[in-house]
Amino acid sequence: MSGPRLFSDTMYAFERSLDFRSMRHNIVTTNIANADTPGFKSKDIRFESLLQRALDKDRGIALARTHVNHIEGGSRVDILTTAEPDIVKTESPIASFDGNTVSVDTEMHKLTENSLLYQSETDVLARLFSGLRYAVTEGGSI
Amino acid sequence: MDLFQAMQISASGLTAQRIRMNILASNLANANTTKTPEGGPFRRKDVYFQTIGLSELSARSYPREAGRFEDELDRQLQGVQVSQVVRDARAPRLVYDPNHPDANKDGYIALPNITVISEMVSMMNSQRSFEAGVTAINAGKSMVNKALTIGR
Repeated sequence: MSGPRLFSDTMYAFERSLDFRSMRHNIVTTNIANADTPGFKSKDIRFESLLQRALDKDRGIALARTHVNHIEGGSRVDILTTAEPDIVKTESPIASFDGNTVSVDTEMHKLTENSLLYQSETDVLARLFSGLRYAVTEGGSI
Repeated sequence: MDLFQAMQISASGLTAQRIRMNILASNLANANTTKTPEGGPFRRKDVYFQTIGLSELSARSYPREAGRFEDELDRQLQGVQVSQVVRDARAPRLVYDPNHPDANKDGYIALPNITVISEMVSMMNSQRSFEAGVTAINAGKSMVNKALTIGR
């Protein structure tokens, strides 16, 4: 466990999470644009468990390697800044006759959820920074 | 990796749906057209979509490095484009109307084989897909705007 630092692990976690959310936004948008393309397979990325594992690093929970690019150990910040999620093909419960697996309502749900979480995470990150600014300016006296 | 890629992808979807909408409108408008420059009744047209890679979508090139996650992700990001517009090969519908100027010697006219209801259903489908694309663009916009507030 590293000592206290100006920028906490939480900030790195938020930074990485925002990164992943913008990637996920791109992936979901691809799915929506191709909702009528024959044979298109819906895709998604999963990263929540990856971030959770990174944050659990010093709580005695081992880091599983599910991808060759996943690193084995290192500090939490190393893991947070270098770990990569998996791109998965999502299965649709309703098979379309043209082989397309996009379900527009599922994708819209993912889009909204992802966008709202992105915005709330941005909000929390901004609050963390404004807390730092408050301290740096000695309670806003400068 | 940026949110503007998402907007390009959505925009490609909107363009494709708009083309599809135009073709559907042309099918609907010509549901009773018996005469065309190429001869015979109007033939309904169908639009086919295919995926298009990001580098073809934008002028920017996306160099590939084996195993880099961002490159793999860029490869998975695909817009959509109209691959072809195909004329329906089904035979025209024959209707008895001897007074029609285009009637044949038996008094039958050839009408396009267009089912208005099925064209309308396709049109609604296209409209919903278009709206989904617009929603995606707006979601991306609000995410970018929110990200700009981090340092404020």
